Amino acid sequence: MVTTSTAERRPAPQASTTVRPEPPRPSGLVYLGLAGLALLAFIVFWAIQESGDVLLIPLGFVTLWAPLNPVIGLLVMLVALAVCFKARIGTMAAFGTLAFIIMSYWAGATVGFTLLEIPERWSNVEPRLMAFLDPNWSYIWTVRDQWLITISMAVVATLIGCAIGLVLAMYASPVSSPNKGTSQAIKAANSVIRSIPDVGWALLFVAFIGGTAHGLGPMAGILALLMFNIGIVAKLTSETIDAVNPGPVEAADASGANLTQRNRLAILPQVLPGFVSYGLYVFELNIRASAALGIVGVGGIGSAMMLQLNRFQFENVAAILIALVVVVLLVDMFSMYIRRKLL
Amino acid sequence: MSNTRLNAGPGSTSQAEPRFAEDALDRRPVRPSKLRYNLGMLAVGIIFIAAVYGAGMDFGALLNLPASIIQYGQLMAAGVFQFPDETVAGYWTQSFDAMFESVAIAWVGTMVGALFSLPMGFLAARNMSPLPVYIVVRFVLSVIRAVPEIIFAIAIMLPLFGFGSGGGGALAGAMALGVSSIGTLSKLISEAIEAVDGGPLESSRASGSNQMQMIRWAVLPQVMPEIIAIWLYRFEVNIRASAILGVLGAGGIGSLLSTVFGAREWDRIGIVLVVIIVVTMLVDQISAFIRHRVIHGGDARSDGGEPQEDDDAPGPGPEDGPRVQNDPAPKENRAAAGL
Repeated sequence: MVTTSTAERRPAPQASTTVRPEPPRPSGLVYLGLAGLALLAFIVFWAIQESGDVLLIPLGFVTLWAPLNPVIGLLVMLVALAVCFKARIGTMAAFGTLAFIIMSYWAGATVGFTLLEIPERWSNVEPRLMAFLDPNWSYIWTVRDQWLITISMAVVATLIGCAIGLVLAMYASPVSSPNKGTSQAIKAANSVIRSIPDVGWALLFVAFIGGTAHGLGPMAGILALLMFNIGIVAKLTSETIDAVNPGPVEAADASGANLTQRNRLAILPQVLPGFVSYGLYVFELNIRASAALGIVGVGGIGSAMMLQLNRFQFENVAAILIALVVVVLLVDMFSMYIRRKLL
Repeated sequence: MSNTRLNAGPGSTSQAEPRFAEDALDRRPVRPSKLRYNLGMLAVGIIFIAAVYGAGMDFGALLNLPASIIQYGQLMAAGVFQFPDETVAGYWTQSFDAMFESVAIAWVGTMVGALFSLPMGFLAARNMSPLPVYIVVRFVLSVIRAVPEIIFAIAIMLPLFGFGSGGGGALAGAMALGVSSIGTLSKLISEAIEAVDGGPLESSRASGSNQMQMIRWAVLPQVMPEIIAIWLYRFEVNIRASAILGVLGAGGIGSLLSTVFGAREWDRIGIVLVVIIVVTMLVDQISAFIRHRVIHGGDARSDGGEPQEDDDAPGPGPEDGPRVQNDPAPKENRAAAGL
């Protein structure tokens, strides 16, 4: 309803139809191109349905798993494009939608996505779930040594990792590094460190150290967690340094501070709260990760869990898991408390 | 008077009376006590030493580490740089196959997580759902976040879908990643929704829309770019996380890693690591580009018009100004790091 005052001020448009600005019509030509892209994806899917091998130029063939029914995929893509065109969605967004559908179709085919087998395979899961509902409570206390090792590993890896990560971050951010070349090089090295998953590091260090007379131990786990932490802390902290308030930095420069003094007095105090909170967060990640890394035998609670799992004693596994969830929640609450206290 | 102000320094311009040294001529503020800071550092040091003993670290192992790194590193480099004859080309192919499977696992897992995280995010946002629902959903989410992915995989998904790369292992891994993604994704999405600008909410309520209409027209347009960025971040995290599931038998690069490490074939290990690094960095770059585009580029948000080439250009449009008030970097960073 239009109030009288506005109606007086502005002459109402004829009848009750308000003229709304229409969103601009997207270019039909580009949409045609997108339809062509959909067709291309369909042809590729169709082709690799036959042979499955795609040439990877210097190295030979790579198998791409083709979706089962490329025709359905094509129809889905065309319908989505039509809907986008009807809704006057911009060409980039339509391209994004198309890319999303193609990617999902490929990924779904690759993992063989189906939910039809769930009812017939449910009997495999039921005994495990029952065991998880009825954990062996008395077992929790018997693995306390392993818990001690896990938490110690997490503490050591976090402290050393944060220290190294801070130094790397100082060199990685263009704000605080001596020159652009250094910052680029450190950034590249850091993204290499980050791209190897934590289990990859664990396997590497188990292989490096396990080959010696010292055998397996928490050392490999600590080194793996260390690399994992350095990657995360260096990335997060260097991005915090990028966004630092330039005032103190300029003041330090103007008063003739050298690089170390500038970083120590103008940048470090600004990033310290963020840095501490990343450290606490990484500590939490470490406890979770060390449970997972037990699979490859790096000591701590994870290896105890894998041992029980290999013996099919799910009641004990369930006890460890419940303790794990409780410990992670406790660490989470503790770090939230410290964060609130510090920030 | 103004002189005093000046000497008091920029920190003490508040109403509280600044503390000065005894000497009235030297009007510099007293240095704050560093006792608490020092005590904190001392406590950290004690905890560190205790933890070093508690973990039972064997420092003798470190002595041989550089030598073995050099030795095995040379073996790996020799494996990577050897001429790809038929066998070696087969290794490369196998590695790329497994890595692509990992990417697919991560993608499906992220989609499953995304599907559930959107409604859960709305239920966990304080400004969108009633208090009892909010508390219950928050609790469920924090429990999901506390459980590592491998547990979903071991307990439910692997027996449900089967093991192995060819069999249901990949699907099991994807479902485990999806379920464990729900916790983080929903938390980040709910934080994005809570930070939404209240103006459109009020105006949609004032014009008589119901809850669904309000979500569709006032909330989603504001948070959708950020949510897409959060999903993409989780995709990157899931690629790394899928490796650990693979070691358990969920297919992908993890299965291959555990195979080659089990056989100690260092040339193959080198090839697999190079493939992991290359593909992961590539996916990260693409995803970072899309995220930047979605958050900062105006045209990706259904404005129509032609795509702009430089998305750092000052004006995607004046109406986009208040939307991107501050870079949501820290929050997303945590998502990136794998919360």
